[in-house]
Amino acid sequence: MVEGLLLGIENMFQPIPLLILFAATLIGFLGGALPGISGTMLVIILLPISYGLDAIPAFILLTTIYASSVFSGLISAILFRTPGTPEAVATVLDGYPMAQKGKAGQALGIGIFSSVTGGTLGVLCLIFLTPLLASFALSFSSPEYFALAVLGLTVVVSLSGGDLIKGFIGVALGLFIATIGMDPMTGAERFTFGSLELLSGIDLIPVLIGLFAVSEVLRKSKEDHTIKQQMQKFKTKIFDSTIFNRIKGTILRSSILGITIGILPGVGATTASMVSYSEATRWSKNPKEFGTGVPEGIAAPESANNAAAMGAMVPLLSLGIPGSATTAIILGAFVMHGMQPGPMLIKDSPDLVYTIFISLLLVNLLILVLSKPFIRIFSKIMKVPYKVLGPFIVIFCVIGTYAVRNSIFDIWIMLLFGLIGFYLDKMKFPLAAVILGLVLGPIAEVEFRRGLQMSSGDFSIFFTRPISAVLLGLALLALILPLWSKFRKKRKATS
Amino acid sequence: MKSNLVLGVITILFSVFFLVIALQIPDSRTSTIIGSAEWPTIILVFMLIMGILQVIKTILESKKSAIASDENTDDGEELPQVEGRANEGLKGSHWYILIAMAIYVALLQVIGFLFATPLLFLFTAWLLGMRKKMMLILSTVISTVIFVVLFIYVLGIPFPRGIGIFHTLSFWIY
Repeated sequence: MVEGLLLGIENMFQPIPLLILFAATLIGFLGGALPGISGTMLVIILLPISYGLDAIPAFILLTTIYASSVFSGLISAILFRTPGTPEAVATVLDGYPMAQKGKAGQALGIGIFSSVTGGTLGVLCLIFLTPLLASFALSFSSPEYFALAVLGLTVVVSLSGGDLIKGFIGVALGLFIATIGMDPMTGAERFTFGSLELLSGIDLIPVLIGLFAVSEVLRKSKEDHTIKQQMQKFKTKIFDSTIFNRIKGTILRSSILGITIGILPGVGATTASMVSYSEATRWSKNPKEFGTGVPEGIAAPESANNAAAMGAMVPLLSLGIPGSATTAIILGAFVMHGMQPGPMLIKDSPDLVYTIFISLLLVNLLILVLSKPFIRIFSKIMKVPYKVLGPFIVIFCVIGTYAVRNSIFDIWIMLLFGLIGFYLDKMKFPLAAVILGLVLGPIAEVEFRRGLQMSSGDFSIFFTRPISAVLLGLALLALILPLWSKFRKKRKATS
Repeated sequence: MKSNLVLGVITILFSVFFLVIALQIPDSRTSTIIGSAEWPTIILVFMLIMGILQVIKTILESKKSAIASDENTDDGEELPQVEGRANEGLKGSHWYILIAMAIYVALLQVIGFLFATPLLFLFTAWLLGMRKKMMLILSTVISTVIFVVLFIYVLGIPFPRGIGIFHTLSFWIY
């Protein structure tokens, strides 16, 4: 591992990677702070640019933007009560009241400090866990991979929004879309209706861009996100020892919670920040003070969301299973660059994986250094209205889709899923479930069929092998737990 | 409530439609134990069951809420409003953007990337509320230059050139 890290440092400290790291951090800041562009959207927009780069600069670009945009959503959340990204929604609860009290600088300082601490702890976990998990996964064979895919799918269903049936419909839709095209094992055509384009299947990127970016443009086009308030005068103070003593426990707990939630497949930083906020309320001696502008109320969501964003990279880099929507896009980018994330990735391309690790560590350092000057100039650029951003996003979506395989057909697919995403989102449908279904579908199917071939058709192979049995047991648990807690709530309510 | 019912019904219709097609996939079980059709069939049957459950659940819930409509069961945490104000500059609905994008894709093969892209930019910018003529023209020209330099010169993406005169003209640029 040490060798790998040294290799990563060597790769990182070259002019072009450093330049990209620097630029990507600032782009991430800007996109994250501007309400109307989320981190997911930003990574989607920059996807076509990453196609033209070599693998190492491309992934420095994408992962850096991903990490820095998760952080910067807090700026507009605290100053204007408008979270710049969904990850910062919970930060509004205490951040804005604190700023209202004239302590905007302190609130931002707590946010920056918590984000950097959470993020750094997240990266350290990422560095230690990825090689461990990958080498453990090397002993997996078909039944284990199938069980892992099932676990991923059930976790996303049980954690995304609480509506199990909708989650399952979403997963099933994703799994079904994945079957369109040529059967990977026999070559038979499935649901192609004789179309040559459908024969090679529906690509992940058009569906992702449609569901997450186009649908958002359609939704946002009806709203005005321009910040019209004036910024009050303040001085950001990142480290304050009395406040640090007060929030250090919260930061540590929330970071661990965030990393754990991030590692779980399908749920990312947004869920982590909300769960962490409500957990911090539960742990607090004065839960009533939350919502009035307490430091813990900023520290909890901000350390958790940055930690979770890093945690979500663990299953991606070690198992090839994305932990969130944005990491699913990064997975797509790996495939575009001719790599398949999985246990072999760290063996085959250690330089790339360790460079990503180092760049993520450096991003957190850059956040600490650059966030203060950025906030100062942010007041001048935050007024970019959606009428300027919107058209750019629309055209970037089209180009990003087209450039994957130079196919006009893919743009149609993107538009179709944009429309589907727009309506599904209105129904509070978990879109991440569809994506996970689509990503894990081919893995689940091929390993399921191979597993049965290994056992000559005996289904018990999935339950008799210990690792596979444990994973399937966890999957079952992931489904029973929410049902059980609902049942208990109901019984409490009736008694 | 209504949208939940619609979701359930669409799920049922979708899964039944594709189940019928799945059953027609030629069985090629000679080489593998599980054939090409089985896996999609399992998924679609599962989807069908979930669709039916969704309909049942929605109906049961609507009955329950009709009985106890005055009871407030929402115990979720209060989260701040993330949605922005209604965009006053926008005329019509999201359909306009979607249709504009569809027309753009169709036009791509006829007039090519070079001429279709400024049109789409101009229209969406206008639709989203940019009304000053100078601003519209300027941002369209600047954005097109950015797209051409970045995606055609730097990244070398082979965009459609269109047909006829547009094809010829495009060679002046790339």
